[in-house]
Amino acid sequence: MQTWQRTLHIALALGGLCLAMAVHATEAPKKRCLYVSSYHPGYEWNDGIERGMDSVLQGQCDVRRFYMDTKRHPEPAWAEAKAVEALALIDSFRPDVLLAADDNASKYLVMPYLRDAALPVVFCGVNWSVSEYGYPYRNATGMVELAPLQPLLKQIRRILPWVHRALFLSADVATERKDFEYYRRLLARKGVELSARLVNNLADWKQAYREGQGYDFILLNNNAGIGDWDPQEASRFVLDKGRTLSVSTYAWMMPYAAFAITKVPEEQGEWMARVALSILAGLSPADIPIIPNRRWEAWVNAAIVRKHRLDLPHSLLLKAKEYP
Amino acid sequence: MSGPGAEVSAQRPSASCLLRLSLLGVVVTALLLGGAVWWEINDAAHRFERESLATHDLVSRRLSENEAVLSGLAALYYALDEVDRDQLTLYAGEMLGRYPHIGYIEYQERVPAQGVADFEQAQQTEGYLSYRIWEWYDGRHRPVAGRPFYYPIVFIEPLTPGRARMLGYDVYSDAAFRRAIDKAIGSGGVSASAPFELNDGGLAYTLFKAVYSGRGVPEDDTQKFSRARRFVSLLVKAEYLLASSDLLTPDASIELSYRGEIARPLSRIETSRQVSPLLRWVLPRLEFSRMVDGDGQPFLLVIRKQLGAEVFRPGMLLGISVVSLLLILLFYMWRRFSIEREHNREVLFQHREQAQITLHAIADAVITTNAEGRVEHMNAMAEQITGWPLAQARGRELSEVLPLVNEHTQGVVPNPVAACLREGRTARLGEAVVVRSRQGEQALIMASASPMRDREGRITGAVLVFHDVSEERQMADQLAYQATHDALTGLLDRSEFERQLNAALHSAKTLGRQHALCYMDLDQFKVVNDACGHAAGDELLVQLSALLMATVRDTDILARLGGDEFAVLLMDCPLDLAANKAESLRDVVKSFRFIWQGKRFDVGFGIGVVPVTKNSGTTTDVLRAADIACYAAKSKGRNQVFVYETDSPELEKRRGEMRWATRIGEALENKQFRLYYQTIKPVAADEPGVFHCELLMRREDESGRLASPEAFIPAAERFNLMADIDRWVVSAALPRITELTRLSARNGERVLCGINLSGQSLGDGSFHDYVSRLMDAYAVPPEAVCFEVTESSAIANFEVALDFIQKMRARGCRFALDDFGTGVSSFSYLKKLPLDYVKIDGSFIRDLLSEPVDEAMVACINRIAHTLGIKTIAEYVESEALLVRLRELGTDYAQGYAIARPAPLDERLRGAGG
Repeated sequence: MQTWQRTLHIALALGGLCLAMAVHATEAPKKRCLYVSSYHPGYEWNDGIERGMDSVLQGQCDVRRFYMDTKRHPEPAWAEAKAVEALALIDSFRPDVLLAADDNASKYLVMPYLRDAALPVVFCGVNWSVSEYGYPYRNATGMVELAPLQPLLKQIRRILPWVHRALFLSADVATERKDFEYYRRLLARKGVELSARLVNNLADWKQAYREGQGYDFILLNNNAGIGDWDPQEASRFVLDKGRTLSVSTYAWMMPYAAFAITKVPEEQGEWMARVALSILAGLSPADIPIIPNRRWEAWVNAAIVRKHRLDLPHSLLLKAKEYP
Repeated sequence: MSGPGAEVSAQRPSASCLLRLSLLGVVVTALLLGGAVWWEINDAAHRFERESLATHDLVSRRLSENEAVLSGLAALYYALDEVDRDQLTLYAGEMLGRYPHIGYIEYQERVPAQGVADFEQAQQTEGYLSYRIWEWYDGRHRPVAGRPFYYPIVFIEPLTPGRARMLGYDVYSDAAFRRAIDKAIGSGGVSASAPFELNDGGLAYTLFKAVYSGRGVPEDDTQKFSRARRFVSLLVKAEYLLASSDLLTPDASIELSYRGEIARPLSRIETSRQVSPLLRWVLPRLEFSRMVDGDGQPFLLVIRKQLGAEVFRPGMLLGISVVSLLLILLFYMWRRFSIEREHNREVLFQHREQAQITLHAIADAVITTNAEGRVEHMNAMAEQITGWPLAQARGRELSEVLPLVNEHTQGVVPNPVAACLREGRTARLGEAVVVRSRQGEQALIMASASPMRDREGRITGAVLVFHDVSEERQMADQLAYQATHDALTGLLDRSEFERQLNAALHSAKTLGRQHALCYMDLDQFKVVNDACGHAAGDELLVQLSALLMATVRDTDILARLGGDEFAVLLMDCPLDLAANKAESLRDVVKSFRFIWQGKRFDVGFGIGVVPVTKNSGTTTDVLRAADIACYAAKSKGRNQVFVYETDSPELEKRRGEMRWATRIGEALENKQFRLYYQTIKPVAADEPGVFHCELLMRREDESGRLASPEAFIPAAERFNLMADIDRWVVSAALPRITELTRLSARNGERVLCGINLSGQSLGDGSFHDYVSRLMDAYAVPPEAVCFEVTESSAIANFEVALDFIQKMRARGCRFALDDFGTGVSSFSYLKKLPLDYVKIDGSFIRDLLSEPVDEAMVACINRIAHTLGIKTIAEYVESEALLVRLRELGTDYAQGYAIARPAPLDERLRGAGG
């Protein structure tokens, strides 16, 4: 065989080898991400987080999802059992990063089992403070969830400058109790005394709402956890019986509140996913600070405003989205 | 030169003329091109200047936009009591989307040393749980200390996980930033840091703008420093300052460089097209260089452009080329016109000469006339056909020179030139016509005439073109004859006869005419062929044809349908008359004697006569009926006439045979044939240890009824199915013979079974291979097989039959000549054929006791056969008395009801098996 022919054959063989290696490299297995939600699919807050997460991940890692469903099953034993199930899933799935949404995932799974473990953890939706779960760990970072109480109170004061008494009305679940504590402390600093009515059924909620007519305003926090909730009934009731200004920080409470300054669950999911991808790219969780949410949206329920004869600030009406 | 090529070249200007033209073209083109390029370069330079200024303005504007972004952000703080992060995020997001060269937007807050802890606490309360104010030190970050105040980053947009680490970073701790911050505070406007490298390798700089407490910028410097509570800043990515599709200088290199303490290029884009070295050398390179005023930075914008092929715009080049070409073309046309005029006369002369030569050379005859139809010119072929020399013909009427008459009627035919001149278009003769030459000779011609016109379209004369088609006509007639006539006898052939019959049928159906068809089949034709060869057969057919031709009427149509079959279509002849005619034909032939090489043969016709009337059906129906009638005639014996009658029993019988042809095929396919056997015994004394029989066949129909061979063998012979039947018999018999031999051997008995073979099988060259293959396959003992052949079948194809007999005898099989006495009964065949047995036909045996002639025949056959070493078998032995007489006459074996009746062979097999 001629020398040049031999050289050509060797070059072709090496080229083929390189190509095969390149193909092999491109076919490297995807990283695995385990998403553990404290709640369940269909719960709007959880769905928003997932929407945000998916919009960032977009197939960059193989996502497995696990739902602890603690909103519908608030009892601690349930959450503990679910945490054990999630652990089993971690053992079998062997994720490269764990994405933990909302408090109970941190409380029942991350804190007892994954603190300073090798598995990186990114959390989101943890209300107000992470100190009760011991964050930050060497292997964990994420986004805390702050309710936009300052802008909410700013708008309330523009309507009711003298406001000093308010009622916190919500489902009787752990996160709401935590929320109330923070709301109470923050509003107290602003000179507003906040009372709480935490209920388990619609009748109690309606009763509490009636009582709230004696306050300056009602802060309608989350209804998730009220088992017999009937949206039409609640909406009808509010329109008929309400007179006092009612506000919220959750978008899905807009059928019952005059206006709301709401958190954006997608922001939580997006940040959690971005951090996860940075960790998968080599960044250490310890090098990524824990940050709060920064975005919120304003909503106005025109029907309630009209029915309750409320005089909302013009700038709020211009900026807010109208419900429905 | 005399060809067309010479004409063209003669019209072209000379080489020196072309050279002068080319030089003129080059000079004119060069002058026009030089002027156009000079104008284009000036235009391009002006255009470049304008485009560069526009690009400079665009970059300046882009830089000033940075200040606008920061000023807008600062204005938020001045305008609003409180700016929350949501508002900052919205504003920054909007700006980042609009200006791609802005990397990120930050906000720093002034924190006095004593307020660090409270500030950090406040940030943590807002959710930045790990917020600390820090600075870089020795490549690591550490808590700030030792300065009166700090400017930590509080807000970053876009906030990414990697960038989030910068929250709390005291930008004032960096010397480069500190200078820019101090400058920003002092100026009240925007101040930029020196360019620095980003982690990803690009160059960038940061712009700062102070936000003072109170309203607006303090005038006093001290106030500025004390009231500068916040900063807004943004990072400018230098590479994006030029990265845009809306830069207004195309096909250029654009470079933006920093001209501060350390000069360094910031960004460069290259949109130049490749320019060839030659154009680089010929065309100038344009350059624009100007400082850019923006962000307070010393930026220099340099734009370079190498002029290239775009200077030579296609429109300009095209225009120049067109003008040059037009000039050259004008001169060229004038020159050519003068040359062309010189040559036209010569060309005209040459054309006339060529036309004359061509006319004389072509094989067609050509005559041209004037508008009055008088001859003007003739070519040589026309002179030859008409017999008129041109000199004498010129000026004469064409009809005088070329008189045309009809081929059949001999009437005068108008010359096509007259029609052509009259109608002004080409006129052709519809058919060939006869022309008589001046000398009286005749020729058959085809002719056409076309008008000749002048430039105005007026007819000036005509051209008559004609050619002699006498030979073609003769050949066509001959071919037509051959296509419809039998080559041997000259009679009509079958296809033509069928066409004529079809016409006769048509006339019968439409006009009610009555015709008749005689279908004739020659007797003894095969005998003549076999005895004297095919030449004799052919001669016989020729002579018979002549005889028949002379016998039939002129109106009758005689044809040879093939082989020895003839037919006469008797036109307008009722059936009774046709029967008489047929009798006449038969008598004529009967009286005819064919003699060949001294031998005399009597021949005869079997004639079937069928009517051809309106009820006759199709041609095929008539021919089929005639065939059946002829078959019926031949069945009656030699020289017979059979007239077709619808209800004739004879015809019905023949039709029955035809139906049998179909049934035989079905019987073979449905396995309806059965093998029977009839025992043959020695006449003198019993022959112990031998089972001798003849195998017979029967057909069993669907209802189980048996049909004897007499019912279907004639049909099988007529329709050539005997070969198939023989093959079935052989294939069915041979395995049974093997089995019978095996079973009989237990009793010490030998077997000899006779198998009848037809002439069709004996004449089939492949039949031997077929039988041999089966005998091998079934391991048939050859001595147990005796093939029985008739005398007529053996002699029908004697050579092949003899070959078969010899091969099978060599194998060990035996042969018997069947039905001896009924055919030719030539004892010479007994001598020629290697036989083991002769079977005396039953017609001699049946009346043996009462007919002395039959007794004499049997005695004679016995004697001659025994002389040749052949044993004899008497058939149809139906009584003990016959058996006694045969014994006296010396017959060896007997077969018939007196011995045994036929019985199924399979029963015999079962009996032998036990």
